Amino acid sequence: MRALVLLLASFGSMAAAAELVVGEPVTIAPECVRDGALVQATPAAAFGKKVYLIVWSDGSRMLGKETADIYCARVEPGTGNSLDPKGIVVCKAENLQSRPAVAFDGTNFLVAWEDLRNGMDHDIYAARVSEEGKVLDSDGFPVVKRANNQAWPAVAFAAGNYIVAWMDARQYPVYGIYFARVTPEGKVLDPEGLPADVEDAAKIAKLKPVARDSVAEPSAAERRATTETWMGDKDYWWQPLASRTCPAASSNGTSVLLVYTKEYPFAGSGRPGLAATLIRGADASVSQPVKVAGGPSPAWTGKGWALGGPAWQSGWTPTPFLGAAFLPETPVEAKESASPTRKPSAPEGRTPGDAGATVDVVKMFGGGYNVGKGSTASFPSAAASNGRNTIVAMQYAWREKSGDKRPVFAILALRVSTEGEFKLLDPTPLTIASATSPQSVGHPAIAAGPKGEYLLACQSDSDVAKCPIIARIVREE
Amino acid sequence: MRYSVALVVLLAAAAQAGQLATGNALGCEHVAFVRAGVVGGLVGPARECAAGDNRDIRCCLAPDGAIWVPDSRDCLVYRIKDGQARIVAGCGVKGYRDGPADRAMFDFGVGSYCDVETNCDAAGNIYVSDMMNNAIRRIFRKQESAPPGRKDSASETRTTRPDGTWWVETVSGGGKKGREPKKGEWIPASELRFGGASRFAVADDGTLFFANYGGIYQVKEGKATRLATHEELQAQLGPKKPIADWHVGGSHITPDGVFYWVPGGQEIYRFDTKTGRAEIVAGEGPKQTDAATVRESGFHTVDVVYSRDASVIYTGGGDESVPRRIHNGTVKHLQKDGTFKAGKEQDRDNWRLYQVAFLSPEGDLYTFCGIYAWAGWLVKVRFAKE
Repeated sequence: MRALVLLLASFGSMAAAAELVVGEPVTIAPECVRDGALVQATPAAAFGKKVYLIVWSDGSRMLGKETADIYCARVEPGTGNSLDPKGIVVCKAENLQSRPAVAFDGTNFLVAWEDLRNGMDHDIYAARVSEEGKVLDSDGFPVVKRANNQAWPAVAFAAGNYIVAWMDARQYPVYGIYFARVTPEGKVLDPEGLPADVEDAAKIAKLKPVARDSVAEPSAAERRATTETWMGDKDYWWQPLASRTCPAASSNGTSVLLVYTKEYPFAGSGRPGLAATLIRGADASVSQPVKVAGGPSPAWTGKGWALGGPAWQSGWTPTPFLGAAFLPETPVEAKESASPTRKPSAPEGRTPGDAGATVDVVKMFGGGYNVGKGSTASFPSAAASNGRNTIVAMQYAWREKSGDKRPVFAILALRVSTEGEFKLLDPTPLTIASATSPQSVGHPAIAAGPKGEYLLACQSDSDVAKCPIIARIVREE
Repeated sequence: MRYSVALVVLLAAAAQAGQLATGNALGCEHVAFVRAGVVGGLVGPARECAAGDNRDIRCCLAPDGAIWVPDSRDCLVYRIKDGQARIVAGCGVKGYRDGPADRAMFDFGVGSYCDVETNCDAAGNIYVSDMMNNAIRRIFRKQESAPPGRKDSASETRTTRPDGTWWVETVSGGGKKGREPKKGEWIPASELRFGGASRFAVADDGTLFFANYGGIYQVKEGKATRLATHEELQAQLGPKKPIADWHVGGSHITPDGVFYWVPGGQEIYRFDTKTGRAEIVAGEGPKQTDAATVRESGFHTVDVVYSRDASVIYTGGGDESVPRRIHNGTVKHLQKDGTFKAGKEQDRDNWRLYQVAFLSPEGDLYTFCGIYAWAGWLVKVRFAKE
């Protein structure tokens, strides 16, 4: 079976689709003012049985006076009203806590985040939160607490355990993807972390002059033996060692799909791309990692996975398409062309629309941001499925064509039908929120709720002291 | 405070004058950043931190030993100190906003032209070119007065100290169209039409110098003037010579007031701010060639960094992957064995360190080891003393 279901947008078939209706924006925690400011960032969302839970990083990242902590609030389905306008403190430890992720196990939520409380390197911490808004593990418990950075957590629940994944720098000089199972009771079953997709250790050892397992400063002897021989093209930075970064997770009930970026240091032989691996919740077995197409945000559709978000055109100055690609339940390697091509006369082996169902947002919004060569993840995205279809949202930005040519920011969303044929339902992306610089919107988060509705949250920056999380109910009518 | 600043300047000058290493390369070590692009950046151990993009950027070394590194894609500014990386300025969103550093917005550029330069003055203030906002911004620690009655015994002025917060303010330009001062006319720096350039230089006292489309500008204590017009410079350099230092290149001001700049990263010019004399220093020859003289050598859109007195200049980056040293009237490519040899880049077994980022007072060269179009690792190259 092909890795990818190739479908071009069929505009004629879209007319019959129900319209997407976006509710009024609700500020989730307007009373969560700290030090005179409302600064909330990088939200994530999940639905339980009765409520949505939105989590975010709250507070300042000011060097030396860091107050960024993890907060959450419950949101009522149907209305989108916040049940916790003051916010709920999940973790208020020292230094920085950021990039939270959240999932639900049928009883409680698990919130995971990257934590710099030791002042040296990030670890992954987590805490359970009940549907009643009670934090069951105040300030969290460590999921992994090793030397080196463990950061950017992703979490999903499958077969009785949470799978918490993260990017991990233990394998110098690259990042790998590791994970641990966490029980609903908050017990970490794999405290050292298990590898999901990491670089070949033999390849690194072959290049390694001497042991450099840690980031500690080498001794004088080591320095002579190591750093002073780091010359020429035998050095790390010229070898095809790949970092795996920025994981996202989705569950089908028994397994968790991790989607992440895989990069190489060579521009010529490998640009950043997406890869995926499947982890069984019961025994933590890991499938062979594969290269995949589409966007970095996965959602289980009931038949397979929709990989939504920005899909990147290949080439010298890649530009993003918004859409999704279909991946079978057991991931298989994508064909060579993992990115959409814009020209009908694509090289042999490449077909327009290879990334699945995509919309050329650059063309649609007038271009503006060429985000740079090799970019794959400049625009944060999110995806969720309600069984019938999958909604994909992406932060996007372009520049005004006239006047001050200020940046314009928008949260764009579109639906992909996953009930029957995998196809676009919306001929153009719906603008969920927008703002013109110096105001901005960004970092979308989506959760699928009851009765086919979605909750779509984002950060909305309007002033130095005002950047709340706002959310809207999105439903089909 | 003034004494400490003076001491820093003297120490830096002493290091530059007596101990600048200009021998063969002894080795290099990874200082900061891994080859991994992470939206919003990732801090922690310096060698594990990740930025969105650090291509065609220039960094600086502050008097306290901290390295300041901009991230051109996410419009953030990192501080590397004691093996740790932290984001100090920028909220990760493109825009224009002064204020608390962690909430400030920058707009460093678009796509392949995300050039951004970072410089510091002797007091430790950090200056960042904010090209899309036509501005130069300063990152500084807000001062607070000491308790009433306490005076600094040495200076007899009220003692101030950092209150711990970092701020961003605009010191030149400001996102608006502005106006052009005539030569010798001083106008508010915020009204300067070409208030920013992707490359600029900072003197010890915080005076800014940069070359933009209208000529060479100076910004000092909130006022701006034009030191030389475009026409005056072309009259001395050549009628069709570009003047604006943007995209690769690199500007510098020596302690005796000689301003260097490299429009488009091809020819190195200098302008004596005291006499108004401008001349071509290097780069008139074929691209990527080390010729018999510096002036006859050629560059292909390179980044350029300077020693304090500009007696040593390194090029590299842009469209050249190998650092070159300009010193004692010669231009030479760095070789894989650590030596320097003259010739063409493609003919040599070169040491590919790619993009020069800054030169320390001791002569250590910091470069980004990546390849064109990629964020790279910040690496320190150490040289023997001759």
